[in-house]
Amino acid sequence: MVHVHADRERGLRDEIDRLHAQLNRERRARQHRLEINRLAANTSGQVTRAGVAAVIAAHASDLFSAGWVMVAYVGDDDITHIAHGPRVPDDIRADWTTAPLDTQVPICESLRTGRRFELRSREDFEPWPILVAEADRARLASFTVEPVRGGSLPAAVIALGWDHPRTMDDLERELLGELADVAAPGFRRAVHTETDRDVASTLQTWLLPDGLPDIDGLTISTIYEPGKGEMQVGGDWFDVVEVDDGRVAVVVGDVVGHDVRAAAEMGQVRHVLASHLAQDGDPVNSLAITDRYFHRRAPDTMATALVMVIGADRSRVEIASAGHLPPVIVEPGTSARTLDCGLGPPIGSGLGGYTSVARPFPPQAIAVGFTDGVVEQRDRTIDESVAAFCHEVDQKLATRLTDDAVPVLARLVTRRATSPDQRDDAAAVIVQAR
Amino acid sequence: MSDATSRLSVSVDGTAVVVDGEVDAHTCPDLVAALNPLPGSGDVRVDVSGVGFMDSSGLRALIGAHQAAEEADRRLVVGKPSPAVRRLIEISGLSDHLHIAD
Repeated sequence: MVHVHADRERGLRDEIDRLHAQLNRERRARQHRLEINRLAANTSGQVTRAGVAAVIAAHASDLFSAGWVMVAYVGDDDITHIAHGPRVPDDIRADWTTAPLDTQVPICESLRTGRRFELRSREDFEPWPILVAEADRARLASFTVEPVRGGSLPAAVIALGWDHPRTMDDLERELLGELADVAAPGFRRAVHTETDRDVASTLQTWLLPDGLPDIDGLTISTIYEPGKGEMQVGGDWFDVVEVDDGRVAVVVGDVVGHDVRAAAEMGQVRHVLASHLAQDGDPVNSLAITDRYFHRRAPDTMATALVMVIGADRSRVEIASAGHLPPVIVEPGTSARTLDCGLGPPIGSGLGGYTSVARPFPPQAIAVGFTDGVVEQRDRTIDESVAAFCHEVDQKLATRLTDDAVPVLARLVTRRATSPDQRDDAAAVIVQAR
Repeated sequence: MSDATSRLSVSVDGTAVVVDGEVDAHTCPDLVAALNPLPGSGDVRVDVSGVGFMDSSGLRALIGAHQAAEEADRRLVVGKPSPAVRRLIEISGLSDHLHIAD
């Protein structure tokens, strides 16, 4: 009797333990699924495969109590690109940011074939001499590579590694499969965005002036810098147009939008405006005609533009703005400041009503037309940003408007436009009376 | 999409449109959808007091709605712009064109 009781008690206890384990497992699975979905949502803000891979690599190690994570994909250069999780040793990270696709390691083979690998201990590493050689340095004793579904080949692979021999249980395999599934759309979207950006950035380059006319009495420098990340492409442009009667129109502008369409629209706006400027050199008239034209023909196109027309004798300048930032001017003996100019609404608004301001342009004076990508700073108002730019211009020139002032300013503008916290694209025209 | 929704909310009640959050290229379609076609009949008031950030795509939406209103003999009133939005309207040469009310 006693034995029977004890057996039954043991049976009950086992049953309770089993239920407990199952409950724990389910709780863990639920928690992990939440985190997987959160991770997938985090990738949605990423527009490049490198960005998507970095987000997954940064957060997946916690999900699988893995020592480290690598996320790899094949770039446009047909090379394996690898994003590393926070626990990958620094020297491994430095040596393995990219690898030829034919490298004999499981990550590359999985990318080439779509095979899944689960190496449970160092014995399983043996078919991979490179892995055996790197195992100590990488502090690696088990390794799993999960392909992320793509077209005929994986879009990417997610690799998890541990510093001890380890066999994944069914739940972990299932969760890793789910992570790969939710990662797939992010990679797919990023490939499309990367292609769009390539097309747009090529278009943008084609649609900007190719070489500038050499113009008597003026030193002119133009700058265009693409933006970064999602903002790589914009509709910023510059132009230098010789008017038939010897005047010169200098233009800088910005089409609303950051995609292939904005790049294409930029080409149209630039030429319509330039063709009118070339004919009569009247900034007010040219802006008004261009505004009406786009309002009627392409109501979704909108652009801001600054036009500075320099007289045939180079001693005067007439300035008109279509919703664009005013130019910065430096004259002999004065510090840099923004110039009042005739301010009208953006091109394409159809609102018209442009005006211009004409003023002297003394020898050595410099005028800088620019887009917000040259000045904008996230934590400042636009006025503060422009004031900071003027201050830097003064520091660089130290009130000496010498012959190399234009290249000096061109370097300053380029440095600002390419600074890491400047995401927008940027264009500028710097013109000096000789 | 969820990202865009969380950064901008646009509510329409009759001809009163209330915009809250950040208006940029990503969130702007929500504003365009609320203003095109113009809601109700008579003047439309777009309250932007809750807009902390707006870029040129937001201005394009306001100008488009302004033009549509003019053509229909109606008015689009931009209500309570913050100093930053007001300044954007100014430097974009729109102060004399858009109807602005506090």
